[in-house]
Amino acid sequence: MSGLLLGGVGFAAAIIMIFLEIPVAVALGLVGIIGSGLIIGFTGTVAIGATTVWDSLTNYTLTMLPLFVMMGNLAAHSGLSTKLYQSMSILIGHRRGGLALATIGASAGFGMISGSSLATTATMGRIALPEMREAGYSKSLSAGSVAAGGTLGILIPPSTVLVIYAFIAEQSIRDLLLATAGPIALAVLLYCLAIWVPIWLGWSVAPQRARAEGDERRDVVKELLPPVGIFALIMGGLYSGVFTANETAAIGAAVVLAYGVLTRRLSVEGFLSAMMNTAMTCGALYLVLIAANIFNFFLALSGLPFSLTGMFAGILDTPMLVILLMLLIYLVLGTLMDSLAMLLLTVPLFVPIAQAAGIDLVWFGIFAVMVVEMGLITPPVGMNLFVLKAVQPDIRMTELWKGAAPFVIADFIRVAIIIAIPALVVWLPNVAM
Amino acid sequence: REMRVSSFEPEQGFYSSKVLAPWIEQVNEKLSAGNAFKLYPGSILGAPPAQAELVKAGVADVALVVPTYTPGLFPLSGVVEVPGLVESGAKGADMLNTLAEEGALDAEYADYKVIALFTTPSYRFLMADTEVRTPADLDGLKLRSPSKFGSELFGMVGASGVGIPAPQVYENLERGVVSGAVWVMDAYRTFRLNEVAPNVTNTNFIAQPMAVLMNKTAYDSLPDSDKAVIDEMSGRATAEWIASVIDETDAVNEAAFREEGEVTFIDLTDEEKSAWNAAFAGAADAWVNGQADTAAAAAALERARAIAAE
Amino acid sequence: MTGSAAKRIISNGLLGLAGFCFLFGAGVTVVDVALRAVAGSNVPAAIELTSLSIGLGALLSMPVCYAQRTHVTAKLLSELFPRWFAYPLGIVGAVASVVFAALLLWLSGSNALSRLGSPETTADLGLSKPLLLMVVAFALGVSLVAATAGLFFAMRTERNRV
Ligand code: NA
Ligand code: NA
Repeated sequence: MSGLLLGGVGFAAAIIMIFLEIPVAVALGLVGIIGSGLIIGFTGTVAIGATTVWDSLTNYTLTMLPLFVMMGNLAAHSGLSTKLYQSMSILIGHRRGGLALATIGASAGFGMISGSSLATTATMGRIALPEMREAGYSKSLSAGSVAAGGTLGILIPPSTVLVIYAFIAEQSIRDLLLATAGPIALAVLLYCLAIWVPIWLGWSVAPQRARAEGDERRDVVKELLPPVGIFALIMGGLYSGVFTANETAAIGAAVVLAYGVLTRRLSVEGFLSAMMNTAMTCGALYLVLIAANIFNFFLALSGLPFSLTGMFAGILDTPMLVILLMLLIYLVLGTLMDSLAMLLLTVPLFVPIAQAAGIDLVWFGIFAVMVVEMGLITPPVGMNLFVLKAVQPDIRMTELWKGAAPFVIADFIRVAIIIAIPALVVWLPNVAM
Repeated sequence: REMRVSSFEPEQGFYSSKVLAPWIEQVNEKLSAGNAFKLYPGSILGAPPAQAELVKAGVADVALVVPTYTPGLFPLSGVVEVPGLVESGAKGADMLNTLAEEGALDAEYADYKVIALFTTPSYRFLMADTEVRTPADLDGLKLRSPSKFGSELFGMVGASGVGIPAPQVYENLERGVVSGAVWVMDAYRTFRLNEVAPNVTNTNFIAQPMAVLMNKTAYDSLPDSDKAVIDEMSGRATAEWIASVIDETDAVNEAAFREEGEVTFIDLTDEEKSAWNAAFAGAADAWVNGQADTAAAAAALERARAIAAE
Repeated sequence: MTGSAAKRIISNGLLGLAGFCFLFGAGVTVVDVALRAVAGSNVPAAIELTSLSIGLGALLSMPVCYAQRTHVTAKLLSELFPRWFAYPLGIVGAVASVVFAALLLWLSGSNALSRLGSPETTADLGLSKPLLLMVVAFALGVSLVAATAGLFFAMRTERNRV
């Protein structure tokens, strides 16, 4: 069997296995190991499998994931997240979908201290989901807003993916970071609509409470101080250069732990259960990460992504077709591949094509990151949805998909808008030059 | 058969585009029909520290390996990390190839068919705000650590190392987590550090050893005519060609940035240079003592010094 | 009942150890940041200590994930039609998990054995890489045992759970 065919068959096999409820890690890992073995033989596969296990376990950048999850668990067990959501409920709970809007806002805020979508989703899932449920929000709406909010984390600086794009495409990092402003604002706007429209249509439930009056509102602002203060402390330390983006998660977890201990809101049982929950979630997530890496290796080895570039040969004089075809490829690959791996694999192949088709490379970088992030929430297979499932196992898959759908539509509209009005992306970097 | 050449750098990166791709092109022209090398760039086949293992196991047939990424496997190649020894890629390639020809590196490359041994030019201090002229200018600063040994050297001038993965150095320089990094000129092109660390000083700090290695079984299984083609494209001559590309690119980069005028080059006087040599006088002993076989390390260092002085 | 008590003790023990590893990793980073900010010095090998301890934590929590089958799974069919699908698909998933755990053990184990005696060390702490690879292989062996136990639990309890 040719590598290419094998790649296609492996891709399909993994999707079928996932639908047969074989764990995602197991499906990706089995296809990755067996497929690689068929291409390079089993001696090579032993080496690649073993080095992948080692590299994933000891990857310094990945250490953020358990530590942010730990921060989320500690925040939940010391009552910080309850405080945050109850206060917000009092402040904006009389507005339609107020808490879901707050969740998008909080995810965007979290995106400023984290460069990882998965970490954002895992942490916000732990913090926001139980509280939104408590307030009577439908599970699909709660899950959809956390999963979609999580995709903002990668566009909002710090963003490792964007920096890596800058290296590969040889673009200025400053320009790329400035170019994110328009699309981020657009995303927040469209996500609000993705929350409101289903509520108006009666597809999701978001109870509104009576508007709180003066005193109650004033008291509650005080209640908001600890969570907001902790966030400000972390932001301050990060942006003033006290610690690196990688170190943020550890600092965050320590600050929340200190808050819980000093205010005596974190009991010994709460602490233990926070630590065990963290371990439980991370065991599952690391297995997925290891398996996804082996699977990515197999796909690269099969030559499938390389061969995709051949499809562009005849359409280089129609940039719109080039863009649409890339969108399609990213959506298909995005069903199974991790966003970073996907960019590393495709950007070197697509940048010359985009250049040949006369597409602005700053614009293309933002486009690629946005579309890759969409893959994290597009059904059937979306990593952010799976992460939520790992954090809150009692949410049903169908609820996750239903919840994600309006946000996926919002993302499609966003991509259509930046295709129609490229100035939304490139105007700011051009002016700031 | 198609033979995989692994590069941890993206396709557009310096070693992928200017060293491995031309090497592949030249070799492929002469190989017998059906045999050809193909580049797998961008760490597709594995992370940078895994490259030596991957080529040894045959996942890659050829790989670009940084010997210092796997401490213990290629101990004596690290001699070029001693400050002051290597100025240019040419000198570094000469040093490693002489050591190899004299058998000093036989043990560490026994599992591989060596295509080329070479080094980067000496690393430069790339600083955000500080114009570094004397060792005292680094006192109390935080710098991005290039390696454990690099951090040890920082300690000798009162600076400390912060570990930051390469792609994140830009952000952390911008936010002031570190005041500078040590790297080759190419970091301005690859990592855009000129935007955030526009002050350059070349003090002949450490150089990084590099190797292009081939899987032994893959080489042995080739017909003699193909082996001859690869032999012709490996060894000292190939290393010298690579070194010339490295030095030329370095010079072109430097000239372009000097021309542009947005980067400040701090050119040291001979007196200032000797102050740096004095500051890092203890580096050689520190390197030798850090190796498992200190006697072999001391001998390699002595030989390297002689070559440096030539 | 002693069986389920043992299961709980082992699970909680592993999760507790894993949690301790995560906490240690966070602690090292916090001390390193504090030293850097206040005293201009570092925790030696801070990054490696953090990475290794968090990696170990992840490794220790994997067996629990296998045994309790808390894998990330897209449970569509068994949510829609639990009577038809929950039991058979649960078994299929558990069997596939055992195969995967066995493959991972085989990959890591044979690689670790082939590298015995290699002088390679970790970059900063100078720990023996072959030794660490053996630790990984051992933990993945525990995972295989746990995956087998998971299959056993699936066969016994899945029918009642529906
Ligand atoms: Na971010
Ligand atoms: Na998807």
